[in-house]
Amino acid sequence: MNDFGSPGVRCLMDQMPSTVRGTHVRSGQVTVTVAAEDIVSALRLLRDGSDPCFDLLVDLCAVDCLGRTPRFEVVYHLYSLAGNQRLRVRAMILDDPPQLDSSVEVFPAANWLEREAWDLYGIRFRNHPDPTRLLLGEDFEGHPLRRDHTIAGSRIGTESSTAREGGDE
Amino acid sequence: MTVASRSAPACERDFHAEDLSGDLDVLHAQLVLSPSHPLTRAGVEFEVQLDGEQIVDLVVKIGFAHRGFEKECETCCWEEVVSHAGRLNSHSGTLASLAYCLAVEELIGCASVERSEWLRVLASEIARVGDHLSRLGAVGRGLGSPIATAHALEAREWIWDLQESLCGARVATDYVRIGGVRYGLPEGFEQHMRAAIAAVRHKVSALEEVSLRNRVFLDRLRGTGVLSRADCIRHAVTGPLLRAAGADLDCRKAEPYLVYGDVDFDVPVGEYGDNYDRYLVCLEELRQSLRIMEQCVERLLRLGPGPTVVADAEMTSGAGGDGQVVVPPGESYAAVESANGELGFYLLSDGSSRPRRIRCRPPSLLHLQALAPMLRGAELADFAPTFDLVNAASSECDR
Repeated sequence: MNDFGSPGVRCLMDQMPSTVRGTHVRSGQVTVTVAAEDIVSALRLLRDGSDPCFDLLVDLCAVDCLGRTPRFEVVYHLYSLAGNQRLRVRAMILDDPPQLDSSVEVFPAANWLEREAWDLYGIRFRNHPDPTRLLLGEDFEGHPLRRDHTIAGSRIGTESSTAREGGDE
Repeated sequence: MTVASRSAPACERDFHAEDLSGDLDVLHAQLVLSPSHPLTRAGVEFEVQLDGEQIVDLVVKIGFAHRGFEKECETCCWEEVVSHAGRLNSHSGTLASLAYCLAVEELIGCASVERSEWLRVLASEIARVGDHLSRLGAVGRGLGSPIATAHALEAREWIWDLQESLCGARVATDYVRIGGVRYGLPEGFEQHMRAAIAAVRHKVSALEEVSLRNRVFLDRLRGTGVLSRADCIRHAVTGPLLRAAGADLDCRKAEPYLVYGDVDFDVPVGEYGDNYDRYLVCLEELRQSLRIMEQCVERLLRLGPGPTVVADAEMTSGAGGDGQVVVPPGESYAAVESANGELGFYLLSDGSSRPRRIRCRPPSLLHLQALAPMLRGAELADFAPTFDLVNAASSECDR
């Protein structure tokens, strides 16, 4: 496996060799795929043990690859202030229903981002301090960014008087 | 004091001084600042727990402006998303559509026209000035200084007029497109811009005069809403908020996209990460943006008129002849320094005419998340300037 000159990938390959599942580069952007069960320790190693350290979690988002196994993946975009470098970390989720360990303890910024991934993709983050929906109402049924959720198929609960009109406003 | 002793009816109790030394039972008042509250410009709801005037805890609720942006984008062709992205932020939508176009161009790998790069930088800085002026105007309103607001909004009128003359619209510009921009410099733009910049500089000086020499402003800005450099990084706070806390991270300098590497400008940095530093950073950034605009126009006049977009053939190669942009399979992330911070787009393409996944990295979402740590322990009166300087756009936050 190639580390494409990224110190973060090098560090993961040296210290957690069994967890690195693959690397690739596209237009100069390096991606490393790690085993889903090790995602939190991999992120912690990148934050603390890599030189330069990747201290900023720029983004966390989920992707639905309907038709492929594993279907869901979570993509982390990291940035190193000291090294002015970026790294993309990908975790493929094998569990069904999809779940992954929460990275809030490593990056507090992940809190709302993980809630959004639960809200829109239905990915459970274990040990999340507040595993509730972020953008939609609690009575919304389904997870609308899944590929098999059609826009016309959105349904809104009727019991709660505080229900917001979902979808179009 | 134990719970049992407290259960006795109050009238029968014999108070002693030592009763007050233990933990007293405090009932916090709950205050809800809803999206319709005059202070909350964006569609956000706040549940504030108050102990007297002090904010004990703050719960921020978002989602009121959620309209399925990312879902909708998966049903559009690549070009249509540009306009959707431009609606993510009503004050500086140009920057969002620019970030999206940069990510698409990264995947296509097409060359660019130098003229369009300068025009994009020009449009970006016009948008940034407009956004910063909106923010500074809002602070004036929140602190009860209508004259500060008037100065800021009057300057913004000049900027939005300029934006209309370059981009064709005052607010929703749709100026940037994949491969370039829609129009070149209009006739007489240089004179228009010189007049606008002089007026904005004058108004901003007046704004500075009435705000930074105003006791109410200083008391309410200094030392309030503090978020340290380390906390900014932990909460992924970028842009002026991070720079006010002492980190000089600016995408335009760190990873110069377009022609930012050829432009001369400074990145102002604060020290304490409080509202006062944020205010100063925004004021100075705005002036630096005016400098960049002047350099852009100077260069554009030297380049003269000509094409502002790359040839269609470069972007539609392999297409079935329908003229749609074809994006090869792969993934890319591109970010711009928006007025609020790093605004990025992560794209996945499967090679078809529609995007597989479009993810917008919204700075407003992360900044609103960091509002609770900024305000815990603060006074309720600090809420208005802190929220105004965070400058969250709910359409971008909720998507």
